[in-house]
Amino acid sequence: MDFKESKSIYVQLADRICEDILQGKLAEDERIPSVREFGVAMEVNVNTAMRAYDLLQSQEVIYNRRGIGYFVSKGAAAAILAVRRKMFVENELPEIFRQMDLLGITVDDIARLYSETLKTSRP
Amino acid sequence: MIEIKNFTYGYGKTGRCVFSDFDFRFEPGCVYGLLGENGVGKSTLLHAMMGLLRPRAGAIRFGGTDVCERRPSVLSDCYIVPEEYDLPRISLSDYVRINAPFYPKFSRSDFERYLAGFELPAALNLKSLSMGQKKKVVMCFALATNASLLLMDEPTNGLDILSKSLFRKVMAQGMNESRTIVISTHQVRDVENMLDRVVILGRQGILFDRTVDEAARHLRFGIGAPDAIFAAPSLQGLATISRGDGVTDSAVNIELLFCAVQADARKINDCFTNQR
Amino acid sequence: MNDTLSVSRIALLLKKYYAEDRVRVFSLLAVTFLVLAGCFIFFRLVMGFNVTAFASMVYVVVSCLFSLTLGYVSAHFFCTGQIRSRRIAMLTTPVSTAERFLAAIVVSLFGVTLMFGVAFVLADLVQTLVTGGASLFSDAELMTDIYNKMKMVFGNDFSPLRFGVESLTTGALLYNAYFLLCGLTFDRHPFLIGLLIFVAADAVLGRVAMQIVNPDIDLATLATTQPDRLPELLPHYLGRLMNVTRIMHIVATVTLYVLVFFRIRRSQLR
Repeated sequence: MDFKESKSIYVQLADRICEDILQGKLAEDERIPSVREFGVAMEVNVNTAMRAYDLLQSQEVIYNRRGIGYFVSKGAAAAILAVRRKMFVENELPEIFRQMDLLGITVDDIARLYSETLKTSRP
Repeated sequence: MIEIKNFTYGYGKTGRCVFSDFDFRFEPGCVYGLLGENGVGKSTLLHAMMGLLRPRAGAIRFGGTDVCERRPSVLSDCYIVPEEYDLPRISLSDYVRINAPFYPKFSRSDFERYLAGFELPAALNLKSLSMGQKKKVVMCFALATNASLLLMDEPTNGLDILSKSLFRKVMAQGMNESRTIVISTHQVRDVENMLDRVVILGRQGILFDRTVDEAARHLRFGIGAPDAIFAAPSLQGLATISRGDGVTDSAVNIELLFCAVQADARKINDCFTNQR
Repeated sequence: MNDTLSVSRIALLLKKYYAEDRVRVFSLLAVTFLVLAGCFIFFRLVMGFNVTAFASMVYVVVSCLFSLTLGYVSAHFFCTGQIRSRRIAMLTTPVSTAERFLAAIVVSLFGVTLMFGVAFVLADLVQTLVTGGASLFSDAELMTDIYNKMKMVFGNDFSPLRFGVESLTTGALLYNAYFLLCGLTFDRHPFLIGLLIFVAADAVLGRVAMQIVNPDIDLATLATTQPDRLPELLPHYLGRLMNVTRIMHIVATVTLYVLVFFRIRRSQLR
């Protein structure tokens, strides 16, 4: 039986901004929409938008200049990747290991599949 | 701040009591979702909060004044967008010109901004509008009064999908810390991301009253959880609610929460009390 | 903000009635006009402005007919408060009960008085067109003749101003109370109550009072047995009747208005 949880809205909102940063749509030190503008655009409660911004601030992905607005931090992309790396190791890896155990897949199997995939995806 | 104390109301002089010794408080800066089965009294509560209904006992106070006194100072600071209404057959600008002066905090620029948010032109004639458009116009007016209390009875009823999206945008624009917004609805999905607090009304009174954040921490919503205290079939499998750890956030499925509360409110509410 | 009485808010409410409720108010006034005009034309053409008959009929026929039609029409066709959505809009408009009350009085008082005057003039016009007789307003001699007859009927202290003021205060205001009650309070029962009060004050109590005050004069018997004594006794009789019923009219008017005020204050959505 699967046990899936969906992420809170504010986490999803934060992810959205992170995606934009990683894809280069938002540059370092670029101003991002205000909390309210973001809330309006995403059609969510402004408090939820605020939580998303607080989360990103705590992860040092964005910073706030009082009276002016929120901006993308220097090294935001690196910060995001660090957070995601941590989350992958803490959340997704255990699930993968559990599946591997259940299905009888070994680490060597994984290594082999990985190098094969790498060969086909990078000509 | 709206304070409801010992509110007892029934239809006519001897009819069934819809509310019996009901106590509640609506705080500013919060968007409330008022949910409940048909006939439980959601519209009645909203009407009573506007001073439209005289209770058999108890009182509803807005800023310390009983709303039944219908004082202009109180009435000009609250607005209700009812489920159905009739607009006079005049132009929109005339309507605003006549009715805006009753509301001292009315802002013309806000009104135009909300109209633009709904993608409605400023030069409209009210008699030629469809039901949905009339609703949008009334909502714009309601928000533009900058009333501290805004009540909405089934606001997304009659709006097309695009308009529902615009509604959410306009609501996000209109909410602030000094305002109390109460949305009574059956269409939970239309407004679930807009709510700060969920209040579920039952026949005997309040069944559930928590903020969405609290629900996210003290309940865990998922698919197929083994320790579910409530489950309902869904497209992805068995949608479940389990007890949360009080710290980690989970996404909140308000519709599922509503069903769970209707089934067994006590079990759900127990999750919010610390168990050692 | 003055919470009880603000003239500017009354003005705003009147503007709102005019802009949004115009059709309803004008229809109400139109019905008033038609009933009044009908009565006046009837009296001018049929009765030939027989002042005596006019005076003796005025309280009974015109009043009853007038209030009956108007009250019924108000209660059934102009109670927009019967429609839930309009009722919500009406009750949530930020005005106090006193302001709502006064605004309604302004509308109905002004309207009814105006309609009264216009109907009177129209009846005069109709009479001149149909019978070819002289218009009341152009014939000074006719006016004086009527004036003298009125004095004879109502007593020597009769004056047009006094007659006008009395008709207005006890008559028009009373009728206005019906509009207010029915149109504003959203239900038909006040109309019936108002009508009952009026009929009681006039027909019943007035007659009863007359009997008590003048047990020896019974107009009905007089009319059949000594018709030639009528012109001499009528002023006395009518004067007494007016004095007695005047008090009752004023009491009835004030009561109805007070009832309307409290009715507005207590009105609910359901």
